[in-house]
Amino acid sequence: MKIWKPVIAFFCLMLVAIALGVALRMGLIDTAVMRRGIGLVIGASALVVGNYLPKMRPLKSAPAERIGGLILVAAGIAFLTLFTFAPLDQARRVSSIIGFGALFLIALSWLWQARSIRFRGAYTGSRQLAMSVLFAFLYIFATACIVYLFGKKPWIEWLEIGFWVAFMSLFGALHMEQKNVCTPDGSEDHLAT
Amino acid sequence: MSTVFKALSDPTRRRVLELLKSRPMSAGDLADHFDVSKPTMSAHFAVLREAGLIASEKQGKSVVYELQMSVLEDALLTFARAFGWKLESKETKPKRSTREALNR
Repeated sequence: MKIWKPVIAFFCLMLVAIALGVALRMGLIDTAVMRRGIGLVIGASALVVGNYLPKMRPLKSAPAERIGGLILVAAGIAFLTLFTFAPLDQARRVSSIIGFGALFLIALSWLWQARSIRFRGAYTGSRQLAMSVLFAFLYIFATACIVYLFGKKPWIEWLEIGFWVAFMSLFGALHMEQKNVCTPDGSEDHLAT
Repeated sequence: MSTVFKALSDPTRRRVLELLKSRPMSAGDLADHFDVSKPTMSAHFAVLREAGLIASEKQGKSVVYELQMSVLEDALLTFARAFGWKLESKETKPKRSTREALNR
């Protein structure tokens, strides 16, 4: 139950982003409106994912998730404020700097908390879903920040490939850990840490 | 959301949340901080669990509770503290201080 609310909210926001793209192609809205709308969708996504991060428990580390959540909520509020009130060019530039700052702070705090992040433990379906939503969001958020700051460049594709390689590596590592944690009869060993 | 407000309305439960902010704790460790019976503490844990503010995990024979608050719920708890909703009540006084008072 606790995981479904943010997952549904995140996918609804992604549907809104797709709808904005479709509306642009159909000529119902202009590029400026679409860009502003996408910025608001990204801000709302940061708010939703950040708020529910400590409940989704993808990392199984309360301090890491709480700090990450707080940073994302702050970034989400900044995105929403900028894309609502600021001129579009300024909103894109400033939000990208805020976005990079947020990602840097999250990376720093998670590195700081690396020892408390448990890659072992129950790697259940809900945790897989939480991890997928978190990575999907981080991918969209990081890509948006890069595009806002540098524009659409060919090397962005390489960054995307690198992101997915990191994602697959982490999932592989998690599955390996899960195999190690499980006892021969398949039950989970809670005492293995 | 009403279950969250109900959970946060009680000073004992707010104190439990404050204690869990530092680290996950077993039911026994948490109960040691309060001068209340174990069934009462269990009832408090049940309310917090129902509100989704804490999660429990069985480790061996003991049940370990861990904080599971969203950022908004965390902010609500901070507001509760900031606006002077006292965390200390008759129930929340640590047992140790009671023992020390009795020894004096």
